[in-house]
Amino acid sequence: MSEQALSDSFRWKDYVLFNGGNIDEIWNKTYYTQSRRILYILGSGFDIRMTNGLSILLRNCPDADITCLLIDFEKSGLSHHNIHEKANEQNRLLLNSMLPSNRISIKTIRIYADTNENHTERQYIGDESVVAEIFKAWEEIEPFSDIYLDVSSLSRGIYISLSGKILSILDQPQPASRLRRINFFIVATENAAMDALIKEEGLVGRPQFLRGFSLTFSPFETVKPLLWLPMLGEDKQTYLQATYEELKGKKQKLEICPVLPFPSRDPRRSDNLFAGHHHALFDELTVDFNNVIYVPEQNPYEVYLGLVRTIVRFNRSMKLLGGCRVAISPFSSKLLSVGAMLASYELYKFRKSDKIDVGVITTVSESYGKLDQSLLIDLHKDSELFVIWAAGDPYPIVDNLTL
Amino acid sequence: MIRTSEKIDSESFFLKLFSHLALESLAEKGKNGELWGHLYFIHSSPGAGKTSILRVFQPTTLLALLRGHNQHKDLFNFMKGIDALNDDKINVLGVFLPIREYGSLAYSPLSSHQRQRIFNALLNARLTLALLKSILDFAGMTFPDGLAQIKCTYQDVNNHFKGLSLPCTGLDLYQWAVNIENQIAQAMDSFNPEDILGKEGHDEPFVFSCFHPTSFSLDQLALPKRFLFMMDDVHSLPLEQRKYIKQYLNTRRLPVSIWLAERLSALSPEENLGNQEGRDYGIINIERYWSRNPRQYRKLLSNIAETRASMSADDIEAFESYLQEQNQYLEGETTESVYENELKSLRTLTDHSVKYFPWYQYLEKKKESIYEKTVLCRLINILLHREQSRTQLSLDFESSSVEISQKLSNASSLKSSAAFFVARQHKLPYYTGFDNLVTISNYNIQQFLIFSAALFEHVLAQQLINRNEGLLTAPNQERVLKQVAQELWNNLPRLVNQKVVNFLRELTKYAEKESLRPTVPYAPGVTGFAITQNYRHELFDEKAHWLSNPVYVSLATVLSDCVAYNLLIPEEITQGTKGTRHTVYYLNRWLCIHFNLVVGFGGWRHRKLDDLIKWLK
Repeated sequence: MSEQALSDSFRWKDYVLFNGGNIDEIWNKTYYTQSRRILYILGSGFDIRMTNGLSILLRNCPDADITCLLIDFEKSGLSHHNIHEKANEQNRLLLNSMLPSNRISIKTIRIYADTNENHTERQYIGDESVVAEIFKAWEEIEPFSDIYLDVSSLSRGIYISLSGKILSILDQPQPASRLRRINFFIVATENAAMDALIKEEGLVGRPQFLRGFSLTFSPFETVKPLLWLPMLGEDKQTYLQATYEELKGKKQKLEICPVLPFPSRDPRRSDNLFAGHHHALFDELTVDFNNVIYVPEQNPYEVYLGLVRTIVRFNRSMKLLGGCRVAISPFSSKLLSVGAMLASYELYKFRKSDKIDVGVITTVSESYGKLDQSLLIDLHKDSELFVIWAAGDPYPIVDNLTL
Repeated sequence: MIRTSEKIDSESFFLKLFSHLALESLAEKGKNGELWGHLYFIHSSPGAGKTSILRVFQPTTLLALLRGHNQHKDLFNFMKGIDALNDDKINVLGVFLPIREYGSLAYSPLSSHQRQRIFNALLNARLTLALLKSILDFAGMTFPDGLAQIKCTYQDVNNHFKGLSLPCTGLDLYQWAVNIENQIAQAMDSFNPEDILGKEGHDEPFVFSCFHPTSFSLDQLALPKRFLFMMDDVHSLPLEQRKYIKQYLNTRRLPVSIWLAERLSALSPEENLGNQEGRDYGIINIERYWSRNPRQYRKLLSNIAETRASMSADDIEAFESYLQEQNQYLEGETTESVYENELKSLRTLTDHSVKYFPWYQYLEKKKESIYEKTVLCRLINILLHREQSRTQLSLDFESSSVEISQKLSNASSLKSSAAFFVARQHKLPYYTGFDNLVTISNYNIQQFLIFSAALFEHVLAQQLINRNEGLLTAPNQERVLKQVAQELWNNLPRLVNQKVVNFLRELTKYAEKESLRPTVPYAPGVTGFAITQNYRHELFDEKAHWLSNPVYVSLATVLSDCVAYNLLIPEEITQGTKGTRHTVYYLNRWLCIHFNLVVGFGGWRHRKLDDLIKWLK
């Protein structure tokens, strides 16, 4: 199949992405009249980018009918005392000042569960909780015309599974009585310099596959080659090693293709990541130099296309062995992680006949290190808003795609 | 050096590395005929050897042992002794099931009863697959290729195997099990949590009781007379499922051999207490067994070290002998000036009273090496500090030499503390010798291999440079061990939160301060703590316990991380009034090396919660 034909078979081959100046094309008074109802979902957190998307939406569309769903996280017995409590609180106050209280609903989910009676071990269940607790019924989203999921202050364990859930709900046949499709957008305020400053600390449990994107490795199944695509970010050597050990323990034939961001806003970023992970990748994991994949830092759809092409080609080359399975680790920025989610969702959850098992495996960090808020505020001036239109009006209704 | 059993691919290679001594904890039960037809829990920390023990009983390993019994005589004879095999056949078919991929079940929208049924179905499916694989392994056939040749003659009178018509072939059974596994796995990963509600599940994990060796045939091959179901990493099960399966197996009292291996950290405090009276199952706590049989543990490690050393390099057989002992070095290196320093320190303590003069005379008369006299001098220093710190006034009578001998004999337990003080003060090597290596291992074979591997590399390097240079000197050993400990410490921030690092740093500072008190009240030195809220069985009430107090959330998390990463080793100790039980958190011995603490166990202090909280900053 030619490259063009291959690309034509992908769900998001034609995509809609807004960023920077062209956000006004969608976020304007003409589009968002009172007839449209927006559900804006965001996470409670310390990141000053938490309310950035909502504030721009409100500024551009002051008359829009907006309901906010704030996902909060239960401070279970084994959560670390949150050193960012003050920043959390400031963000909450800011949110409360943007919308009347009857427009903000809060959903609190558990993110940890004890795995022993001593309460000395725990497991991350944020992804399980968000799938179980958010949108239990179609009726919860039915009243809305547009759903925005702002991932700026959500951890990857939450937004990846939640994005998948929302897509899966919208991909189901909608009631005949419904005249208008529901649009789904993913919003991210991107700033690689700020991301680099927010250091994840410690590991909770072992790396795990996220709900909705899990692969099961039975010791009794025929072993297929496993392609691992770790998407690298700054200082992720420990997560890389931990995930490698976890995948190696599944006793699969492992092929590793690291994913680096290029082109990127900082043109040296991929070089720096390459250098920073050199020992881990090439000495410890013995990755082949030729296996490195480059995807654009600031276009999740191009990330998605790059990943899907790679996976499809690899799967075809492994045809004699029954194909392959794929594990993607989104250790990088949110836009790249969204691209990973789209790739996994299409190949694993959406396709019926040409399905490829593509899971998302990640680590969960204990907490985040201390931050210089004034520096973050300063860096935030260079943040850029991205609005990824993932489902709805621009896209044809597709029942099945064939590779 | 290969450290984990899972990474050793070939059975014969595994058998070469495996020491029969690792099975000693089973020996007594085997001799008493209690090993088979019972339920056993095998408990240990990570790296203590649970999985290796289970691996020995798998059919491929037992068959390799049978074929190569001449090369592995000790292990072969041991396994014969416990009726795992005899001269011409194996008597047990080990069915090995690693516990994985059950985590998401706990968080489904099912009721507790529904979760139990789904769990039963999944377990039945996987145990069936594990059993079929074991049968094919026993027959020397590839899984799943040979399944059609297996005949299952089980009569399903209770209609357990819905959707399957029995008797059937192994292939039919395989497909039945795979279907269940796939359907449940897909439902559990679905974005719609309701999908799992449509799955029926099973009433109980009936595979344990349904299948016997007589239920299966494979051509003319006679299967071993018993199955041994082995579930590894049971701690990976969600809490609810773990409790359920343990309770089920315990109450059913099936006449089947079932072993469940799990980590100590998964146990409840009640389980950890080790009171086995009145229970219908056995517990094999690997570390506890070794701590009660230290000689055998030492022998095991010696055996492991020799085997691996001899496989790595032809010229090195007795690895132990390449490690210079501390006293060997110190007897050559301790100078008069060190002894004089100790004497000076003693004089400072005692010059105000002549009653201490006989102690000097006693010392002077001793015909021992300078090092021994130096340690003795420090021991006397400790004893006299203790005497002087007593509030009761003593009359200024001199002690006779008989009394002095008696006092020193009664204080023999302080000798190791004295040696530690001498080493610290005069910067002499302390962490040396094979016995020290055994202690550092914390009854954990994997930890032993980490440190011994580093020493072994230096021994090899030494040999390469100078073949006649046998001994790795005490200072070099200490340097190597400290390097390994330093690397482990440097790696820690990548694994745990900074609070954990802070806590450990403060704990070791406290331990050092308490250990270096001149009276050594907590011999051989403090390396652990217990939380002051004394915990008794009847008080373990979640509503009252400090763990549920939000003020101590961060402390609970830090302790949980420390236990999970084997940085603190919890041990239940009965001490004090009315048999009070304490959970003492001991530092892992590698931390003791890094922070220059004693490596012997025993010394610990109570600490209040509010004091511990301060250590997080």
